[in-house]
Order: sequence, then structure tokens, then C-alpha cells
Amino acid sequence: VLDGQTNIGAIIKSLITNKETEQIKKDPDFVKKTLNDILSEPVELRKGRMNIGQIDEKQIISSELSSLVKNDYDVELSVFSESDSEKYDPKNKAKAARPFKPAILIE
Amino acid sequence: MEVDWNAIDKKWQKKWLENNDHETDSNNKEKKFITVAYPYPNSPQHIGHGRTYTIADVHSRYLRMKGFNVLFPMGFHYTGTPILGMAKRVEANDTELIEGFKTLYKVPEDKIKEFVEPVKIADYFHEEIKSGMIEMGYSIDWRREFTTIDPAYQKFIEWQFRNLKEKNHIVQGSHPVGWCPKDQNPVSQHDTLGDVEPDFTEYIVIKFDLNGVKIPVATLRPETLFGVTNIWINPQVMYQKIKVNDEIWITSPECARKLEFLEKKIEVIEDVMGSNFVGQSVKAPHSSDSVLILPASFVKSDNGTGIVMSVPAHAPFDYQALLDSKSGKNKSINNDLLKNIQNIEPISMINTKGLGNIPAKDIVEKMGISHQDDPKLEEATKEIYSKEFYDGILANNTKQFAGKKISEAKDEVKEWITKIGSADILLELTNSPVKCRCGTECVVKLLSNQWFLDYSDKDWKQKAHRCFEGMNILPNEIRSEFDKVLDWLRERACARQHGLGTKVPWDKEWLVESLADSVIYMAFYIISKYVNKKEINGNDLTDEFFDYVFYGKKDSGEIANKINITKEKLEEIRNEFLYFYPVDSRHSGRDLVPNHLTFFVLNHVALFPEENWPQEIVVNGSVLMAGKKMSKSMGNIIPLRDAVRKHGADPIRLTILISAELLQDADFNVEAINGIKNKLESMYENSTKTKAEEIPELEPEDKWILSMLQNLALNVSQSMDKIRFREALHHILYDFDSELQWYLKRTKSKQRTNISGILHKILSSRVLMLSPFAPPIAEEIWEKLGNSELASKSAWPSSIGIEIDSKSIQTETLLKSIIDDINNILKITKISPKKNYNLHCRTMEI
Repeated sequence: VLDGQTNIGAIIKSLITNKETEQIKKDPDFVKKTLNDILSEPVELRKGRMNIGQIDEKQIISSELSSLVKNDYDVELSVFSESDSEKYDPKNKAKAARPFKPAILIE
Repeated sequence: MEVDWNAIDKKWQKKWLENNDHETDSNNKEKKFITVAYPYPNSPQHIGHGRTYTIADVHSRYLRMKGFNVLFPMGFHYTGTPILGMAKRVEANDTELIEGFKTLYKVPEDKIKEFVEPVKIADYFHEEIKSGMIEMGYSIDWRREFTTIDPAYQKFIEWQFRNLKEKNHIVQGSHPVGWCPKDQNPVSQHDTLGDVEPDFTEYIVIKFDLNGVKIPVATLRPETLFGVTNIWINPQVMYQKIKVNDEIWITSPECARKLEFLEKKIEVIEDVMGSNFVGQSVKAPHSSDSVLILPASFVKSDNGTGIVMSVPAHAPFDYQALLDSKSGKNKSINNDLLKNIQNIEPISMINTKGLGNIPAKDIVEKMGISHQDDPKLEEATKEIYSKEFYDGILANNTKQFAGKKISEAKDEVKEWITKIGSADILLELTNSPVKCRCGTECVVKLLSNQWFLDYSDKDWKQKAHRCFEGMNILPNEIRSEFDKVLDWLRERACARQHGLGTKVPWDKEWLVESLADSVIYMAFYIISKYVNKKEINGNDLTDEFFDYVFYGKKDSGEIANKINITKEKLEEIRNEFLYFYPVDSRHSGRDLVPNHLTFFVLNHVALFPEENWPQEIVVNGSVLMAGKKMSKSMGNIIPLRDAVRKHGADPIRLTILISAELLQDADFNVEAINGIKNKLESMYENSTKTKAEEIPELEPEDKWILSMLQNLALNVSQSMDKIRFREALHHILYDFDSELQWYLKRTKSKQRTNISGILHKILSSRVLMLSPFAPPIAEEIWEKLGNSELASKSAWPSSIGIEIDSKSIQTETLLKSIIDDINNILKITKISPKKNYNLHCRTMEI
């Protein structure tokens, strides 16, 4: 999405025709929000993302965020990935998570 | 932490001097030759002067750290009349001036007594300014210092002048100049109060005939003579009947005075009220018809001849005045005359696409103008004039000129009226009043048989345009100003009767003018070093010597013999010239764009081969004191040395530079300087806390902060290359702080204790970047960080040798945004977290 297609309809269409991503049709809102996320980031940051490919968010958050959260608020942090079967998610927040935008539940 | 600024300044200035750090000779490194307009020592420098010199110094220091062999020299401009004027005022015991010396400039009384001698004034302030430059930390090669009255320099100027004359760039002739009637000297910017360059307008005077007496009218549009319907005179003004050579003219007294300076013999016969002429008929030069003289209040006695011709079809003022006259309300018009006026109709004589037959009528109606003193008439006049000038065609009633464009016909009509003996020239100051430094109001004088630099020469201008095209002009928006100046430049008087300086070599009655002897002196910095070392004697220097050093002409052995030096020494001088020339960057204030900087280019292209033409000009704006212009009357001029004593050199340098980019006005105020001091003091404090410990294996936040540091280095270098010093300083001092805070938070929460090495690396890089701007404090911090080399002699950190790590940037961005989100949630929901946070990640394959 660096400087290519930004038309949502076209993006969803191309995602659906791809077998790997066809389940996206259940959640078009997700595509829209994600696209907006990306477009609101500076171009340099987007370029950086393109260059390094996928990063393991769960790994980064588990290893780096806990100490920050502990330091700032003196509470413990637990991290789940969306497909985690063991996840603790009483309010079904996981549905709202997007790439680089994890869902947050505070108790 | 309190910092003793003066002590730190002194410590490092001493060290640089001891090491001869700023002395530069030719060597095998790539060179940069940075120059700045030298000062005129008739007062101490104030904060405003400090700006240009500081910018040039930062530029020099930056390039030195980039690995160039940088020459940054300084001289002192003694030439000119202002110092002479001051000496005369001291002699006359002028209390205002003497009080100023005492209280504002703190000159000791016994020194002031010596000031009756002009050179003593120059010498005193020369030393004062030089001390200030050293205290400001300027990295000048003082071995090359000179004044413009040194014997060697005078030989150099003689060479320059003979050379220009040989090339026909100096001509003898009669041309208008700004003139001080009291000093009997031409005046240019440096000779006037408030540094105003006198500018003048040339009017054509068309002489109408009143029974043998000439009624002269001044106009910029001689072609409109064909549309004249009457003459306007101001009935309230006392005019003069004067003898002008062999003719009798009626003009305003102001005009009579102007004519005196235009090579005319003037004799006043009597005074006559303007009202006496109202209702009389005069004969126009272009036809046998007569036109009436009518009264009009818009005619001003100090403008032109004080009498104008009326062209109501094309001049909005005339159209409106005619309407006013016809209305019958004007008491100086009697009933008989009023009847005659009713018959006057505008005569259309120019056809312009897009304009009606009587354009003045249309615009007066469109703009809703109702009387002849309406200020909107100026605007209306300009609008019609520019349209007619570019698109207007002369109509059939203009005799042999019919069908011609206005832009072409203007000069032809002028020539024709002159030929039939009915035209003359009147010159007047456009930007009057212009006052000489002696206080006298200046005039335009037609100076005859005088020496002029022929800046009107088209080929010369063309060459200069070519030089400008190849030059870097910073900021680039000033480029068009140079082009305009070049196009408008005309002959310029280059000799004066009084003042300090060099005699015109072929006419010893005259002295070379001060803006003519200061255009190629950058080349003299090569020679002055050898003069000061007494390796050559200034009095021995000949044209042959300069021709060899600058052009490589003739045999070095033969020339060396004649001036008592060895062949090798002479060749060394030549080689050093070849090494340092051309000038890589010339710094100056914006006020020198229309004169010095343009002359600098013109004279270089005239005297030097293309490979020695200047490469770059950098222009800066002025300095305001807490938002106000500096002026003696406001009492807000701060001498630079006073400010250094009070605040230290670095805080002053940074305050001036950080408030504005080149062309903007910088602002100097107490809050700004205190802010800078605090910032520098906290950096100084940090330097005592970090040590050059070994850098551990890098964690994600380490990779990130080092990437950020690499980014900083790239950004600052980019800003430095464009001389965007404000931007560079913001990057170095402020922008990086938020990154550093995040890094400290991250490492603190991880309870890390091994980051001192990284903090040391960060501070080291920032200090090196700060070094050109704030040299002494940067050296001090650099030393505290454990370095034995000088910061100013270290390499510029263009790169910190680390590749930007994109993954760490993504990581920290992600973490920051989650923390922001958490804070937002807490703010909105107002809950305080008790048990634990639950975070859900959802990743997507791209």
C-alpha cells in the first residue's frame, strides 16, 4: 500500500480471489480500518515495514512491553495471539485487534 | 550546573591560538576558501554584526571537520568618508558624538582626544573589533590581516584600476550621481545616514512657450505630448522666473535648485505666484495649437518642475482634475475661463487592447474616484501605465509615430522633441530625502569628466549573469534580486575627492571610492600573508608582480629579481593563489546585495579567468532586539564585547543562529539566551555522568536509539550543507531529546545498568555536531567525555557507522503506540488497573 491501490473495494476483491485470504469477506470492516491505519503512518515507516517483512508482534510485546507496563503502572501483562486457544478474553476484545494495533483489555 | 562561560571561552581560545589551529597554508588536501565582508572600523561591533561573522565561522568550522583545508581570513576597510566626517566632528567638539564614544562605546577620554586624526579612529575600532572577533571564537587566520590603507594594498588597488581601465571598464564621462553639496563628494550607500543607496529618476522636460518664456513640464511619458489638452499649475505655489543658460524658465524653487547640479547656469530673476499664470495660453512644441494653463492642487512644487502637462485621456490625475475644473467649484477659475474649460475634451492617442478609448475616464469611474486628492489615483495611474506601456499602440493623431508600440516609441519621441529644441532632462532622487552622514540633504548631480565604472556595459553584465548562473546562491530566493540589480546598474562614479584610500593611479587628485576598492580583496589575502611575514615589501610590489601571481604572466625569475625576492618565493605565492582561488563561499548581510555583492561578481568576471570566478554567495538578514529594530535612538544597541562578557560567546552565537534561517530577521532576547544557557549547561552536566564503557550486546532499544542517532547525523549534515543552521541546531539540541527520554524509560524499566557506553556515544556525536556552533563549550564537554584530541579537530559525524535498523524502529513504534493506547484507555475509562493487563495481538500476513 506504499503507493499502489488504495481503493477498498478493489483491495477486498483481490483478497477474496486469493484462496489464502478469502475468509476476509466475513470482516470487510477490518480491511477498511487496517487500510486507514496504514495510510495514517508516515511513508518512511511504511517503507521500513515493506523492507523487513512480517515481524512477530506477540514475541516483541511479550519480551519488551512487560517491563514497561510493570514500570509505568506496576501491573503484570499477559499476551495472547488471536489464534491462541488458551487466550483469556471475557469481553471478546480480540476481534478488534489489527496488525500493529493489538486489542487491550484492562482489569 | 553553573558554567563559567568566560573562563571556558578563554581556555579554549588560548589553546586554539597556541596550536595555530586556524592558520592555513596550501597543502595536499581539498581546500575551501570562506570569506565574509570585512568591517568598516568606525564603531565597535554590535550583536547585529555578529550574525554574519558567526554564520561564516560556523560554515568554516563545519567544513574543517568535514576534512577540508579551510581558509577563513579577515581584513579591515579603512577607505571612505565616514571616518573622516567623524574626525571633523570630534575636532568641532560635537558633544553628541563624543558622548556616544564615552557612554555607549566606553572609549577612554585620552583616546577620544586623538580622534581628530581619522586614522586613529580606524585604528582604535580596528583593535576593538578584532578583540571582539577573537572573543567570539571566530576561527580566523590572523596572519593574513590587513587594512585598505597599507602600502601593499594600495599597490594592489592601483593594479586593479589600471587593469580595469585597460579593459575599458573605467571610462571618463558625464553621468548622474548622488551628491553631497556640502562635502562636494559623490555619495553612495556607505556615505549616507541609514545606509541608503541614492536612486534617481530621469524626467524629460518638455518646454511649452509663453511669449518667449519657457513653461517646462517634467514627464516620464513624453509620447503623451500628442494628447495634451492643457497645463496644470498650482496657484498657491510661489514659482521662480529663472535664467537657465540662455533661456527664461518658470519653475518651482525646488526645481531651480535641482537644475543647478545638472550642469546648468541658473540665475533667479523674480518670484511669481502660480495664480498669475492661470488662464494664459501656451504654445505646444508639436503643433501650432495653444493650450490653457489651469489651476490644480495635486501639482506639487517639489516634484519635477512643479508644472505638468495634462493628458486627461490617459492620465487619471489629469482626467479627474479636468472634471473638478469643469464643475465650477474652483474659485481660482473665473467665469470666462470656466466657459473655455467646458470645451476641453480628452484627446485619445493610444490604442490598447482591453482598454477603452478614454482609459482614464473608465478607471476613474470604476474605482469610484471623486476628487483630485484621492489616493486611489496613484494606483489607477500605475495600472493604466503598465498596460499601455506593454500593449499600447500610438494612434493616427501621433504623426510619424502612428502605429508604433509605446515601449519603442518612447525614446523616439524623446529624441524628436530634443531635436526640435523643446526638450531637456531633469534628474531627481527617487528615494528622497537621502542625507549624507554630515547631515546635508543630498541631490543628484550630473558629474562631468569624472571616472566611472561602466556597469552599463552589456557584455560585462552578460558575463556577470553567466557567473551568477553557475553560482550557488543561498538562499536561492535572493537570486532574482541579483539579476534585477545587474539589469538596472548603470555607470557608477568610482572616485572621490576626500577620505582615506588609494589615489586613482592616473589622476592623483582623486581617491578610489570605497565600494570600488573592496571587490576583489579576497585575492589579496594570499599576498598579505607574505607581506606580514616581511617576505615581500609592500612598496616593492609592481603590476608585473600581480600579473604573475594572478595570471602567471611572464617569467618568475625576472620579476622576482626586480622586487627583491627569490624566484621560489614568488612561485610559492602564485601556487598558493592557484590553490585557494576561487572563493568558495562569500558571506554578507542582505543590504550588500544591490552593491558590494554584485560588484564583487562584476569585478571578478572582469579581472579573473573563469576558473577563478566565485562559487557561492550566502546572504543573511538582520538581528532584532526583543522584536525591535536596533537603533541608537532606541538605546537598544548592545556592543558585542559587552554581550560576550555578560553571557559568554556560545550562548550568543546560538541565540542569534537558532532564532532564524538565513533571510529572516533573527531575534535576540533574554529568555532565548537563558533557554540556550540551560540547554548547554544540562549537556555539560551529562558529560560528567557518562563514561566510555564498553557497549554491550545490543538490545532492541539500543539498536533503535543508535538508528535514531544515525538519522540525526544524516539530517543535521543535510541541513548544514544547505546552511540551514536554525534547523540543524534544532535537530542537535531539541529534536533528539524525546527519543532519549523514551530510551531512558525503556532501559530503566528493564533495570539495565550497562547503557553508559551508549549514552557516551550519543553525547559524543551530539557534541561534535555542536562544535561548529558553540566551539568552546563543545571542547569543554568533549574533554570531559575523556577525549584528548580537540572536538574542532575531530571528523564531522556524517555517519556514526551504524546501519539504520528498520526492525527496531518498527518495534519501538509499536511499543510506543501501545503505551499511548493504554494511556488513552485509562484516561477515557478512568479505571486504574488492578490485576493485570491483557493484550491481544492479531497479526496478518502481508
